[in-house]
Amino acid sequence: MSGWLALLPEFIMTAGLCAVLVADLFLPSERKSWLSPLALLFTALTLVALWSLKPGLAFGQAFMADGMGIYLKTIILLSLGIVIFSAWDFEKVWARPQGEYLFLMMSAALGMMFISSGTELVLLYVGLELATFPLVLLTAYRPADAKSAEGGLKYLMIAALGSAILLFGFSLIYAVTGVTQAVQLAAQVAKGGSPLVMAGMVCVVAGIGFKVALTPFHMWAPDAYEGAPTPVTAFLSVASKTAGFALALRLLAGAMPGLRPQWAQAMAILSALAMCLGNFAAIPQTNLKRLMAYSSIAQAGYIVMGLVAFDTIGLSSLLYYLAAYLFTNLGAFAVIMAVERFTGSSELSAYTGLAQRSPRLALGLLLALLSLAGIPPLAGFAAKFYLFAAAYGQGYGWLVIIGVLNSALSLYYYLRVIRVMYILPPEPNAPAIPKMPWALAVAMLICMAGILVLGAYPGPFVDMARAALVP
Amino acid sequence: MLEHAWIIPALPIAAAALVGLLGRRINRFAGWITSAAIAGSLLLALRLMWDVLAHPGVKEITLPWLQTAGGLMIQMGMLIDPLSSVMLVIVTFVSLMVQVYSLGYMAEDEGIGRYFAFLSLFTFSMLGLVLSNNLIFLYMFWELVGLSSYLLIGFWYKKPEAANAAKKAFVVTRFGDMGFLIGILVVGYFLNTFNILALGDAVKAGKLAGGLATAVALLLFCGAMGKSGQFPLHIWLPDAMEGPTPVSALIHAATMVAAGVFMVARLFPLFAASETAMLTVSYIGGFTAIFAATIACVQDDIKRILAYSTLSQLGYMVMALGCGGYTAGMFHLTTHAAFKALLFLAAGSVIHAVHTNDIWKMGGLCRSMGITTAVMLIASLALAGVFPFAGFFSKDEVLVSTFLAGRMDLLFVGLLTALLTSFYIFRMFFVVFAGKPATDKHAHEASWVMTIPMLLLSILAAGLGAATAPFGHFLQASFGAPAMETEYHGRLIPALATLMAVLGFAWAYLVYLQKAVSASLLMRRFLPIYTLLKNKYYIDEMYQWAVQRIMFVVSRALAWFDRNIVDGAVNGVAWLCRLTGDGLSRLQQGRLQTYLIMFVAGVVIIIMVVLASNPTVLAWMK
Repeated sequence: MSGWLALLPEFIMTAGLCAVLVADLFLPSERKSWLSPLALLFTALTLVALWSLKPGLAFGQAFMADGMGIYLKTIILLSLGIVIFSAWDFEKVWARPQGEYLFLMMSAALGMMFISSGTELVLLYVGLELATFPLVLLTAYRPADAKSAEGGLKYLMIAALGSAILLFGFSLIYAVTGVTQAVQLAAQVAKGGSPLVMAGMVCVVAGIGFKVALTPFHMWAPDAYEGAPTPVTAFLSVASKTAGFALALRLLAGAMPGLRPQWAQAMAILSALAMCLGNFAAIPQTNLKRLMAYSSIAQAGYIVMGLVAFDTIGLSSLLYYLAAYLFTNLGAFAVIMAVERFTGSSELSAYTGLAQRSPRLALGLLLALLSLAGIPPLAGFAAKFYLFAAAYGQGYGWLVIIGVLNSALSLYYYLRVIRVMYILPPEPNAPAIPKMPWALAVAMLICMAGILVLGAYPGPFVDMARAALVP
Repeated sequence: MLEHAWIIPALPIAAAALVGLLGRRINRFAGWITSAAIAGSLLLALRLMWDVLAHPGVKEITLPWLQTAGGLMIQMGMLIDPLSSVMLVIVTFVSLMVQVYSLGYMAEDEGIGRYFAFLSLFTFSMLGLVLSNNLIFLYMFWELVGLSSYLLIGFWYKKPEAANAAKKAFVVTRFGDMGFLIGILVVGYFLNTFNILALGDAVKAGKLAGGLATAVALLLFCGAMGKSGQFPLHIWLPDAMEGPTPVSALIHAATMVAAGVFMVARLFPLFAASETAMLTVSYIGGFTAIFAATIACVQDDIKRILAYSTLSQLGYMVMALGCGGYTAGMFHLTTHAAFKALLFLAAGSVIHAVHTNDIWKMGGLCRSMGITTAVMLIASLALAGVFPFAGFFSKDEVLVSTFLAGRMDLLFVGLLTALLTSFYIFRMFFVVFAGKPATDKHAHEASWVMTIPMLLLSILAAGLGAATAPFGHFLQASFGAPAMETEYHGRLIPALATLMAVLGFAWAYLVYLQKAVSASLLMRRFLPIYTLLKNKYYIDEMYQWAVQRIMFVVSRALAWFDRNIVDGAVNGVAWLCRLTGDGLSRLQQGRLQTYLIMFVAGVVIIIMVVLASNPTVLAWMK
């Protein structure tokens, strides 16, 4: 029975999403604003349960609540919490039901939590489906908007293909080894991988590549990011990516360490491709959400370097980068949401002269973009520094050179946004930007504090990431 | 207390952030908030010094900050020893005095919130610099000090002179900083550490010797030359008085110029490792001392007189350090902080009352401004080195250190400078406070927020000399302090120094108070010398010439190269990037079929790559 206790956070999240669904049914429409606090309460409870948890196994070794799982789930839950804050009055801004939105977000988060702790192929697959399909629905959450519908459809088709290929990979692996549990699988693989297992492994890599949006499996991302309601985009860019890396850590690092040369080779190629494509293709973008989509493809390329390095430094840098990325990207999206709320647009032209129209928003986006570009003393710098150092230490000098060149390249489009905000004068008839709603301000402040603290003083957070790796 | 020393710099920066973020809404309280924060820092600094006094020694508190796989670790940390604890007290005390004084002085300025935020930023930077335990953080705070001085010197940025002076200060010190940074990197490269204590050990182990030691010490000294205004990088300091007068007090006493001298003391083992470097340092100091003192004798602007005086006194400190007089240099820095801050605040009080900087338009102020006259007199006596004021003791130590180092030429220079110092400061004093009022306007004494800081500082300027011996013993326990110099108990040097001070006083008395000798006659008799001094040896003009004739020619050539070749290449790369970006984003043309094909193709290609590059697979295929 004690094993079930390891599942307590997941149970609380399940209870929470049911509660939101039921409350949505029974609350009168003027009380719907209670839904956000309710969802937030359950997210907080889940976090508390998570942190007071002792490591344990459940479902006969299919589910492992270890340090890494707790770390990853913390990031997922924090991003859920921050997104709930930043879209506190979702219904008012997006004109779509709040209850279902929260229910779907929480379902996706639940799926991601299972991925973070999954040590068995079938459980991981189910977790992945649970994490993906609510987000597909949310992407197409505004059918009246053609872009939303288009993004949702593309996401759906590619998700289906990615999931099919992943499953195909699983079946190849199972066919050869006859096991699905991670530890047993690792033992089988260590005996020597047959070409079939390697082919299966590449299919797994592709499935992960789809989830974290690595080139050439990234094609869904720009359309989905642009079409989805912005809070969903924010969640997609952070939590979903974190779940993707959880999948990679569990499947590649956890279940197939014996095939490390092969998957590291494949991942290194994907990393280089993603960095180059993401950064180059971001340059001509004129929509900030689409720009962030390409930026996040490039960021995924950087993060994979930690997996490629595959030593303690590499993996802990990867985990640390995810934390830095959480605050940085959500910070940027908080500003995008604020601007969208008042101007109704996420086109770059809506940001003209933002520094004069709303100095605080401009400063927030400035910090977030500089952190994404990796400028000290912000979180992104320390994170990138550790990742590059790790990859270099493991002999991936060529990948580091590509990464550094790409970092320089990324400044091109980040600075372009900053130029629009700070150097261009505001247009005379630009819509006014009044005071930010309090919940959005809270979300932004949390993110800015995270960017500054993680950047100025990375020591304890790196130690935390390192501690999470100890089984 | 030691572990909590970080609160000392944290308070001012928190206050600066608070005042800066809340903006104009709290203009009225801005100064009170930041003053309260500094007062807290001062109390903590005193407490810290108390603890260090109880257990003198070197303590380091570190936290890991950045670590690479290669093993180079940069820590975030504090180095607490008598030297840093004394500096903390000096900096917080002078800052507090300046802040309180500014409450009165700047009361009518509309940018007062910004002013106090910058002032606190300045103090924070200096406190951080003092506490740093490694060269990287030392350099970061060093640059922050430079930045905040830029912001404050150019505080009245609408005045072109102020904006230019700020630029000048920033650019000139930048020349020194370049050397400093190169020095730091050279140290890091050869000794593989940036930690100051570890550097001390490395020097002791003999890892830094010969030409390398000299090069490192001189490169590091470049930084001190810029910040502490040593010849030939001194030209920014006199112009820096374009900032508000309390800022000048801060720059000249505690924060900016003290940074250079402090840095030399902090890294003393690195300097002491090279005989040549020490010799160079002491001669540059000695030259600056007499060079600036001669210029101060003929200036008409009250703040410029004080500015050149600061340069000259900094020369003393650097000269003492170069002669191995570690405690002498630091003690002179301490007493100088007290009396020079006082001189500036008193000068500010005068300027506040008569609205001019020209000493010839003042005169007879002793009747209307009693307190200011009294404190100015105390400060002048201290600067001139008259017994028993603080300056007497510290100047004596400086002179003794040159004597003990066997540099009779520097001792002579020091004595001559003492004569000139006494002359120029009493010249200023007599012209401003004695005689008949130059205008009919009646000057008023400043309000209490301005007089109280002056009175407190005057107590120190008068009495700090009593601390000479304990101060020396205390500082001996600092990191890198050389072993106690041979004690000197002779009477000759103090007697000579006093004689010089009296001579200078008499000279000024005869010329400017008794008018026994006509000043204009003297001027005409020595016209060429007068003109030379009046124009500050034409150093600024020489720079101007060098910049226009040499640098601009080279610059124009480089500009052409930059505009046509470098920019062309950069624009070419940018154009190429944009083109590539356009091309790549065209991949995303929206056709779902293409997406799916790319997905599957990607999987197939990667499978082939992975299998093909795997020898066991190839064998298996056969």
